Amino acid sequence: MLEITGLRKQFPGGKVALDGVGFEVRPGELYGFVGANGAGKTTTMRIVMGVLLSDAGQVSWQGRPLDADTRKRIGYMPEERGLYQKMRVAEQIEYFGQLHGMSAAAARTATNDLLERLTLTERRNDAVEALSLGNQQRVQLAVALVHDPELLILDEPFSGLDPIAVEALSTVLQERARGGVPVLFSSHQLELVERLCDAVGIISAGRMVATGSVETLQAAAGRALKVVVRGAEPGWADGLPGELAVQGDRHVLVTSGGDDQEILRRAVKSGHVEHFGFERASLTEIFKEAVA
Amino acid sequence: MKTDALHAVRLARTDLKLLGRNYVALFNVMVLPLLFGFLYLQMTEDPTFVLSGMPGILLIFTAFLNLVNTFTARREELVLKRLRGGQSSAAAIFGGAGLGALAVFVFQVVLLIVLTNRYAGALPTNPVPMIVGGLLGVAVFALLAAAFSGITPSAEMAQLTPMPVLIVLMFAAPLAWPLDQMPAALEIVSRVLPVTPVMELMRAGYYGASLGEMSVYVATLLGWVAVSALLVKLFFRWDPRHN
Ligand SMILES: Nc1ncnc2c1ncn2[C@@H]1O[C@H](COP(=O)(O)OP(=O)(O)O)[C@@H](O)[C@H]1O
Ligand SMILES: [Mg+2]
Repeated sequence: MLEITGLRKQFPGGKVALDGVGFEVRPGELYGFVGANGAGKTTTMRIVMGVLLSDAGQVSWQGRPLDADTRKRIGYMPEERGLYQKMRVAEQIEYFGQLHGMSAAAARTATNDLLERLTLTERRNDAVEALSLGNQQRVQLAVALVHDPELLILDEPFSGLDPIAVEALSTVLQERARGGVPVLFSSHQLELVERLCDAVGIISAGRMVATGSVETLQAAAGRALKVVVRGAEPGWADGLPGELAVQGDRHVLVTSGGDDQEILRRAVKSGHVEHFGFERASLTEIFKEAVA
Repeated sequence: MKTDALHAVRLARTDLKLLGRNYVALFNVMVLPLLFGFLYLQMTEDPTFVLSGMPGILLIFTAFLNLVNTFTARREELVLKRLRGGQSSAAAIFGGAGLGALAVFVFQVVLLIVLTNRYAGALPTNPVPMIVGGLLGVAVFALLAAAFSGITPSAEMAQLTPMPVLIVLMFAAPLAWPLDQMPAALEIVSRVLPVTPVMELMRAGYYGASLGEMSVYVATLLGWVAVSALLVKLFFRWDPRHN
């Protein structure tokens, strides 16, 4: 398990980037680390990787402070996607595998396997600079995965990817997680995180504002009541809480307060009720709520 | 320590592989110094003297120009940042770059020794000052290159920013004429610059030299190692962003 506790970081110049950030990522868990630009995601990941030093707080792995040796067994996709531009795809992945201590043969096997999974086999002998951004991103992921890491830390791995690449990437990450590897990745694509992740941490201005499984967060956020009434009389929902949207002859009321039975009576009286039910809050709603 | 050494070797191998694919850089490192050497050979009756001093000139191209280019390109493509992000230490990264340059340099010096023997019939008698001079020379110029990459804005500019240094070093080097035949002022400059001690230590391998003389050259180079290390501290950048 990766445990992060009480991270604080103030940059020279006075900017407090992290103010007591803490969360846990368990084996086999896909953990989505979400937050607006500048919230502190990259800074947190850099501190975990030892690229930055924190002013306070701890990062531990399997109960012990994370040290340089252990970090070599982490798969890290940094925010700055450095790759040798003139090196070929396969060659580059093998090379980084070897830097992580793999034998040439093991690195080659792992590379071929990843190229296959990430559908890069046809590009294996192209220079990285000749690839599309989406394909470069796949190479980035391959470089982070090649040495079969014990823990994955990926900074915005999905940014700038087309839907097909998102699928390929998600599948690979889910596989790794299922194999027992904790996967921590940052993202601001909330729908994707909601669909993919077992657990989510929301960071805002350097503080964790929510953390837990998606279901827990949804339960905590409460459920919204959604009513759809066809042919409703104008003004039927006057005085009821929530927001009313009108789409053609349909009136859609979404509310998280008020007396549901009273709302139902009013709806039935005013028109044809097409839908009446409680909806789970989406991660987007939870996020908006949390950072507000 | 062991990982550092392993990383340095891997990084060096990669640098060499990529050098082999970069024809402009390859020309600058392999062909250009040979052209200069050939030019100087036309101006002298003593080919052994010129050829035995050539390694000093080679370093300007093989270590300095080449590595300014390498460090700048790696920084711009963010590889330096990635390597630092949990994989390789600064020592391994600098060591790897130096090692790659050293490998090319050794190859070139061996080639020169063979050529000198072919055309002038001379062979070095004492390899010790040559090895010491060569190693210290590569260290000085690799460090200078790292420092210079810091003030080089882009990989394209990496062919330009080193030019002033290159011209001064070439001009002041005692390649075709011995130091004591230089104008006095130039001689002083020449003795202080890092190319001359390398040349003289290389020549000491052929002609012999007193221990006193050689110590002065070694001391000069050690001084340059210190100066260039300081310059690295001041100017080297891992990150393309200026902040
Ligand atoms: N090297 C730095 N120097 C000063 N401030 C920084 C530095 N890196 C990040 N910051 C600031 O710290 C905050 C958090 O940044 P970051 O961790 O990159 O956010 P995120 O990855 O969530 O977008 C931002 O306000 C950013 O401007
Ligand atoms: Mg970021």
